[in-house]
Amino acid sequence: MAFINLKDRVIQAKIVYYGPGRCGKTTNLEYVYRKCRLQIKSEMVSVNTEGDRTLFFDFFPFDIGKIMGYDVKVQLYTVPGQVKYNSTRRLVLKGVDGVVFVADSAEDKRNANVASLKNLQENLNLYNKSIFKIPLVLQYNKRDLGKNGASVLDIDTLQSDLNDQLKAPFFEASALEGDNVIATLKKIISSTMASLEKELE
Amino acid sequence: MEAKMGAKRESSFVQELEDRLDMIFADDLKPRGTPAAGAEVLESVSLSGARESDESLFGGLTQSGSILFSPVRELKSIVLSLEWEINSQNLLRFDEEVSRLEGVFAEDMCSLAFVRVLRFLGRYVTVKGNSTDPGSINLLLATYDNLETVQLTKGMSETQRCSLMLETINSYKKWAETAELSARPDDAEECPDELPQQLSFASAAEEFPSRDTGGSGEGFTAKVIPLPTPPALSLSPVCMQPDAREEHADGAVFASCPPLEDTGGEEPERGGQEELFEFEREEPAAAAPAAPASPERDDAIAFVIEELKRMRAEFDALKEEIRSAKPVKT
Repeated sequence: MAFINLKDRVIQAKIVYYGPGRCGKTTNLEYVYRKCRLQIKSEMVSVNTEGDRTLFFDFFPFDIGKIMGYDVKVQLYTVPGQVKYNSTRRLVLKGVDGVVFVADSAEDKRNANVASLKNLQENLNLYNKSIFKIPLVLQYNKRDLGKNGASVLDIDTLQSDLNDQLKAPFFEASALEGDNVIATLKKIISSTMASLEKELE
Repeated sequence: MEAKMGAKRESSFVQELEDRLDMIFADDLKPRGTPAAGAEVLESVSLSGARESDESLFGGLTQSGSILFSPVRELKSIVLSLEWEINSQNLLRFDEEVSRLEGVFAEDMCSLAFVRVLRFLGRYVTVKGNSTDPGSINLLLATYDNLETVQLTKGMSETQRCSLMLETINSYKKWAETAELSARPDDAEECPDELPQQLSFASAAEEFPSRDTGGSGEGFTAKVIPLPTPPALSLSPVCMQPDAREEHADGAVFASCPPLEDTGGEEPERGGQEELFEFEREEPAAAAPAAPASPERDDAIAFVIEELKRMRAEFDALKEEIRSAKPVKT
């Protein structure tokens, strides 16, 4: 749950990057981290093992500054995507306010994407949150793979697999090259804050 | 008034937020190939008055309650890793970090109380191993959460801190009571006849060789010995749970778990091959010479109280020992 202190005028939201293993969640965060060092002013906490795969989580606080007198802060988290780390994913999802689901565009990751999205739904349910209601943005990552001749899933397939019912905003992206990484982040922050405002009403 | 960010204000809030994000990420949101304009962006921010000062945008983080600047930063990582998998390495790291934090919070009694509860729980889990009840892990996580809250919440009054600490201690007490009463009969049954059941943590350390050192008698056990001293509470022994005894009203459990003194010379060869989690059998058990055969709860409670008294005395002695040893260690 977001930390909202109306007296001190502080709003702090938690956004989690979710997705299958090696889909590029950490790459997303690393890109954001590089791009807004001034807002972060701290080291990104990341525990990588097993060939640079996220074992625990990455996170950093992101200070947006004062908006209409409110000090707005966002905490960005990633989760380990590997199936076996579900308990850690659940833990990181605790108190989540918004989710970016990073899907891997590689053709052979089609099932992994679907499984991970289902896993997200299940884990959100544990916290009485609905995947249909929580602010959610889909990011179809690794679009650059196509340039290198690798087989990538077309957007229609990804939409049909993942977003047919959710109808969430989505972006084609390449976290490695930084394409649409910031657009994704901007969208999720806006959606999350709008949702928090509604809750406050 | 502030609580109601009405529809009109709501949209302007989001709009302003988006403008701010555009500003922060101007470099990236512009079409590719556009020259970077960081300096221009900063200038425009200043001119537009959208930001009150550079400090509000760029500063504040170092003063904020970020975990990154907190002494519990490392502990958070360890707690998460414990939630993921309880293994000897994580428990060792946990114990070491908690010990370090004891020094860090030496002057902060409130935080110190949390740390001591954590230390106790950590060692309880170490000793109980794979038969640790989920409640202890949940309590460990909740205690950590409260410690983090105390550490990271800006402007928290001493009363609020103490209130949270008392809440934690009460949860801890409840857990200890529950852990005692809900001990599964098979906990006791798992204790083989030949193993002494009245080992204290300290005596267990002497009795069981280290897993890491292959039976040298050093290492792991040292991490188990010093019983933590959470405020006014101690762990009740598991092998003497009233429920367990109710299940074994004939006293078979206790007959199979004789006092250490009775079996001291007959301790079977451990061979240094004991698995970490088999230390469950070391769970501090009765100090009284024999468990009462009666399954009645009153007897059990009296029995436990006696044991607690004995353990507390042991804690105090250990505390003194640790205190006197501290300067040497550091």
